[in-house]
Parts: sequence; structure tokens; C-alpha cells
Amino acid sequence: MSESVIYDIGYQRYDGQRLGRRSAVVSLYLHGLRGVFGLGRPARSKVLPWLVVAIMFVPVIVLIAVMSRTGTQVERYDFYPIQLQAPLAIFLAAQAPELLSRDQRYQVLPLYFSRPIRRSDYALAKLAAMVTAMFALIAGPLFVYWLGSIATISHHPGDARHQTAQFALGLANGVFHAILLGALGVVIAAFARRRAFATAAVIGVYLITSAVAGALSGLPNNNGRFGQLFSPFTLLDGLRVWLLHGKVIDENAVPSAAYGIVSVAFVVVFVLVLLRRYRTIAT
Amino acid sequence: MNAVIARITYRALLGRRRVLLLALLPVVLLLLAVAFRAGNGDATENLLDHFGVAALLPLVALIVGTGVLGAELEDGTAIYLLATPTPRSAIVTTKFAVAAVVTVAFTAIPEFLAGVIAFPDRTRLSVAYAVGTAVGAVVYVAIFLALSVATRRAMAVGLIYVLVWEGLLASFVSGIGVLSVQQYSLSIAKAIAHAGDEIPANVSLAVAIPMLLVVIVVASRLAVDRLSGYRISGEPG
Amino acid sequence: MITDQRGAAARYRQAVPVIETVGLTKRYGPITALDSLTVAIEPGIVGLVGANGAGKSTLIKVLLGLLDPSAGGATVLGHDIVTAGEQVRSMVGYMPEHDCLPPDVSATELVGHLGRVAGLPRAAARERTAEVLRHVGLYEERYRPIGGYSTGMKQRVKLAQALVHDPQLLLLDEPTNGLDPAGRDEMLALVQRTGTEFGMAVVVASHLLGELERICEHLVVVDAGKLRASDSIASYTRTQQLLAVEVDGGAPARDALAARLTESNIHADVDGRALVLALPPDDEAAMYDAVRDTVADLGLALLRLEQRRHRLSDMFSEPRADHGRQSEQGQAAGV
Repeated sequence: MSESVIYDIGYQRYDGQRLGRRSAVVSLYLHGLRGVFGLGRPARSKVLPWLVVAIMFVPVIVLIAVMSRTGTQVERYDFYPIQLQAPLAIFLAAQAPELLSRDQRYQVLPLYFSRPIRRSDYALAKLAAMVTAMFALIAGPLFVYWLGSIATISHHPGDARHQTAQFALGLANGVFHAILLGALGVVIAAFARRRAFATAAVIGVYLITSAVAGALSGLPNNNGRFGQLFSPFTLLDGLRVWLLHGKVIDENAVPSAAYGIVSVAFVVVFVLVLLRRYRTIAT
Repeated sequence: MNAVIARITYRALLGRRRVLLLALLPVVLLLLAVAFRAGNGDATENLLDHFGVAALLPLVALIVGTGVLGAELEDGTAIYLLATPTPRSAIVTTKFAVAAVVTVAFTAIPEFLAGVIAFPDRTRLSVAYAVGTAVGAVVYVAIFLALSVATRRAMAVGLIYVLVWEGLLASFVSGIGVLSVQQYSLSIAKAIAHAGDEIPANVSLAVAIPMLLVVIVVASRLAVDRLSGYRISGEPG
Repeated sequence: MITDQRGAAARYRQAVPVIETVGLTKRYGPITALDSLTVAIEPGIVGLVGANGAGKSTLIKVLLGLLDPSAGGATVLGHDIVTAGEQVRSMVGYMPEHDCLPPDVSATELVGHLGRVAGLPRAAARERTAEVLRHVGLYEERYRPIGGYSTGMKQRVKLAQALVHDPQLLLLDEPTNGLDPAGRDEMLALVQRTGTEFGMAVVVASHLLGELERICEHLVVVDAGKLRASDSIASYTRTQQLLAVEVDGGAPARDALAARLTESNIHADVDGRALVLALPPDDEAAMYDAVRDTVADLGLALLRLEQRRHRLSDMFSEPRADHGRQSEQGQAAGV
């Protein structure tokens, strides 16, 4: 049964501009970023990401309300990621598979790899999209709060400077979180065809590593603190304390250069594994 | 109970790669136990509760519970099973039994061993936790099996339950414990352990036991009902 | 329906072979998917024909850089597939055989996105998407999610994404896969129109000889990774007459006849129970007499003496080890 009559307008040739690999990669990145937030997909795909966005903004809204009422401002901006671990982990677990596993599941990869981009371009564009999304989740609320604090500051330029400096630190902290978490989520999702598995794997890693870190912290003499190096959020928090001179929340942690080294090592390993995966994946 | 279905399910669950993944988690528990023994740790809670009951148990139960029937339903191969004259209740019972046994094997037994390794002089505590874990395994599996029949996104819903309901909310709202499988496990463990052992259960036994029985029965009924009306669609959405 | 090859060639942009392979080999452990394949494919609509597993898809994937060759090399449109893979891919459109469409986006979205990934600027990608979807025959449906499309519509989307960036060469892998007869006809007509109207070189891989006969000007035959033949359709179906001879007595009788004919310098091919020999155009009668005499000499009973036109499928009917594949092609060739 023929679905539609073909009105033969004829095939047109294209003699226009052809942009190179860079434009292709940028469009892949933007497409991925949109997909992570459910844009360009049916409404069902928008629910979870925007729910998490809302959750991320709630504390900030509350703080702004407090600020406008009582004038008290937040001392530091850098607690944001660790206090909101769960929504960030859920976002990562739910959306990294949308970004990566989906293309594998529906075998769309040959359509990409038969185009003038490299396999590594594809992997890195997806990684960049996830990192950007994670950063936006953290930085967005901070930005709004900072705007609010600047707007309500009346006569204290010192305060404004302090707020801005703290905001900058908060952003830096956000960058580290976005990179490590994004890389972790993406590399796990790259190995799963079924999205549900990828989601479970990311949450599983998060749960297990947190639980291991927690369990080890029960060892006397703080012997178990090395466990913190292996759980993403505690690792990043230690990095925050050490590198950004952040305020210590967890007294058991003893931040040191080890946190920086391990963070970088993890990111490097994740990216290399990701690239290898897409180099050798069957089409 | 159907022996053929049971055999096939065992083999599918414990096929090579998945067994490695499933075994990985208890191995981590045992390694932690060794670390505790070496470091003379005595915070039993951290190891056996925070890791054993709150992380290992739900994750393994989730993987096994949603995988034992859910995988077949999702990729459509369940049609071969549903087209046989085996009653749906028998299918559900068999799958449930297999899943429960496997989960208990991969959670309660390692929990017991971990307790014995880490805290060698507190055997009764280890037994208590192991029994609590075993009961929790059965309840979790019932829930996740029912979920896998009721919805396509059983894994996601299960994760939300574990992470958000039992993880996040339970630490903020104390009443939630009544509907938390981990609390049932802990309350049973507390009942078995010595009076002096601190097991952080905030639901009493008198509430926990009836609740968990209700949950098992309701979940099983739900699973059988949903499976009886199950329609296999042509292509996954 | 063979178009005038001279006229078509004159319209093509490039006069050099679009694809040239030299000893191209692809091995997967003990399995050799491509075995030292050396072939030059001219512009035009070329059919790549072979049974399932003969190596057609593998060849296409190696040319595109989706697979790395184990040995040998090839150039596509003048560019080496290994060192200039990106150039190759910027000028080639690929329609895979398998399902490759995500179900939750619309055709417009997907084709537009893939057009951008192929290097089109945004406005051009939008316009080309609309044009190309029209060209393949998708109208209102193009805004709906692909998950709800029929197989025919999905195949059209696959073709559209191969065309959106206006490639110089189209590689189509089993384009009529899963279509009903009407759908097949439409797809073949579409392919033919795309190939002939605007000078785009097209390579169509298929195991269905009958379809390729209809639209291709040239056929490349692959079997078990090796090149079997590469020639224009006209030369395959030359109107040389053939004579089929069948005798009673099974294979021994048939082989004895073949042996005796060979002694008289008459070459006979085996075709099932019969022997097939070529009739010289100028002296058919002599051949008939020779056959009759040989059969009589051997004391065999003649069951059939029949004229036959050279068929495309005859190229597959040389005696080989796997008769299973042979009979499959015999069936598939029925047009």
C-alpha cells in the first residue's frame, strides 16, 4: 500500500557552502545538550531533567526570600553540589543514557560514523554536552542567587565584592564537579545499550562508593579516610577544601594534594576509556 | 512452581557476565569486612547497615528482581513463556522463588560472612543482620518483580524508591519507616540480636512483620494480575 | 529498463571510476569477509550483488571507514579510504541495511540534524531536509515521530538522510529490505530517478538479482568475499542462444555426455540435471547434429533438447560446493 503519491519536483543539487568538521562537531554538541534537557523530544523526556532543574533552584529561591526579608546573605557559594548530591546523581543517571545509550540501542551510530567526523569527535562532543549540562545545573542557581544578592546590596560595596568572589569560587567548584561527574556518567553510559542498565549502573556506582566511603569512615583513627578518594562527591568535596580553601564540613576528611591528583587521574582514565570504547565499537 | 521455568531462569540469571557483575558487589562487602578486621573497626553499623542493608541489598535485589522477568518482557521473548499453558500464577511464583533464592545467596550469606570476618566475637549480631537481610531480600524481590510487570521503567522506579524514598526521605521524615523495606530488615535483625547491640531500627517488630507480609502478598497479586492481562506489543517504544 | 548508457555517462561529472579497490581484504579471525577484492566501479547505477553473507555490506562499510581493512586498499572518488577517510565521507551518502532510526524524533529533526553533522550550514540543512523529504515522498508524516512510521516510510527516511548533503556517490545497502511489492517498485523507481537525473553515482547492494536487473546498468558480483564478475548488464544478457540437453540416467549419464562432448571441443556447463552449451550463431544446425550424434553414440536416452536465452542467474550456476546457496539464488532470480 503506497502511503503517498510522489509529486516529482525533482531532486535538486546543492552547490552551497559546506562547513567542515568543526561545525559538525559543534552541532553534535548542541544537539546533545538539547537532548539532555529533553528539548526536541516528546514531553515525557522533559519531565525528569526539568524536575531536577526545579529542585536545584528551590534552595536558592528560599535563600533569596530569606535575604530579601532579613538581609542576611550566604557566606559561601561552594556547598551547592555536595548538599544536592542526590538530584545531581539522578540527573546524571537518567540523562547520560539518553545521550549515549540511546544511539547505541537504536543503532544510529553508522549514520554518524559515515559522516565527515571522527569517532573521537562524537564521543567528546557528547562528553562536553553532559559536562555543560551538569555545570548549568550547579551554576544556574548560583548565578541567580548572586544576581539577587547584588541587587539587594544597598550600601556595602565590600559585601558585593565578597559575594562576587564567593560566586567565582562557587563557579570554579561547579566546573570541577561538572567535569568529573560528567565524565563518570558518560563513560558508564557508553558501555550500556539499554538505558535502564546504564541508569542503574550510575546510581549503583554512586551508592556503592558512597557506602564504601561511609563504611570505611567507621574505622578508628581515621584509617578509612582513603575511601573518600573513591566516592565522587566526597572526592570532589575534598578537592574543594584543598584547592579552593573551602570550609570543611566533614571533620574526618583530611584534604591534601592526593585529592587533586586522584581527581585528575580519574578524569583522564574515564576519557581514555570512553575514546577507546567508541574507537572499537561494532557498527 | 515449574521446574523447567526455574531451570531456565537460573541459567539466564547466572549467565557468565551477569554473574560477575552480581558477584562484584558482595565481594566489595567482604573486602570491606577484611579492612575492618585489619583496622580493628567496631562500628558495626557502618559496615553491616550502611553498606550491607542500605546499599548492597537493594541494588542486588533490584538487578535480580527486575531482571528475572522484566528482561523477557521488554525484549518480547516473554511471549514464548506466556503462550504455554502454564498458569500465570505458577510463572510468577517460580520466578519469584528463583529471584529470592539468588538474591538471598548474594546478599544474606555475604552479610553473615562479613559480620563474622569483621567482628568475630559477635556472631549473634552477624546472624541477626543476615536474617534481616534475607527477609528484606524476599520483600524487595516481590516488589521489584511486581514493578517489572507493571511498568516498562521498573528499574527507574525501583531506583527512585531506593534512593529517594528509603535514602533521602527516610533520614528526614521518621514516619516513612513504616513503608521502608530496609526498616523491616533492621527491625527483624534487632529482634534477633542481643539487647545491647545497637541496630538502628525505628520501626517496631509488631509493625514490621505484618507490613512486610502485606507487601509480599499485595505485590504478588499485582504481578499475577498484570501478567494475566499482559499484551506483548510489536516493537519496543 | 536500461537507459542509454552513453547519454547517462555524458551527464556525469566525473569520468574516472568512482570506486577502485586493490586487493581489499577484511578478516574477522578465521572468517574472511573480503578476500583480496580488486574491482573498479564506474559511474552510473551499479549493482553489487551476492548472497547474504557474501561480503556486500562489509565492502561498503570498509569503503566508508566504518571497518578497517585487514589488507589492501581502495580509493573512493579519488581519495584513499584510510588516509582521506573524512574526504570520502563528506562526498558519500550511506543507507544502511539495518534499522537505524531512533523512534522518538521526527524525520525532519533527524535528517536536519544529520545534515548539519555532514557539514551543511543551518539554513541550508533546513531547506535541504524539506526538499529531500519531499523527493523521497514524505509529506505530513515528516513531523511525526519516526516510531510510528511504516517500514516503507522508514526506508525513505534512511534514503533521505543519505541524500541530504548532496553526495556524489550513494551507497545503498538492501534498500528494498522489508518492503511489500508495491513498496519495492517505488523504492527502485526512486533510486533510479535519483541516479539518472542528476549524475549521482549509485551503488546498490542486494541479494535480489531481479531488482538489480531492472535498474542497474552494471553489475558487480561478489561471492564469499571474492569478486566473481564485473560487467555491464548488456553483456550478461547477450542474446546468445543456449541449448539445454537432458538425458536419462542421472549424473553419471550426464557427466559421460559432457566428457564426450568435451572431446569434440564442445564446452558444456552443468545445470542441475541438464547440460547447457552455447549455440554458435552462424551454425546452429551443426551443434544440434553433434549433440544428437553424441547421445546416440553413448546409447543414452534423450529427454530434452531445449533452447534457452542466457539468464543473469546463470553466472551463479557453476558447480560449487554449497548447492544450498545455488538454489537460493536460482529462486531469487525469478523476475
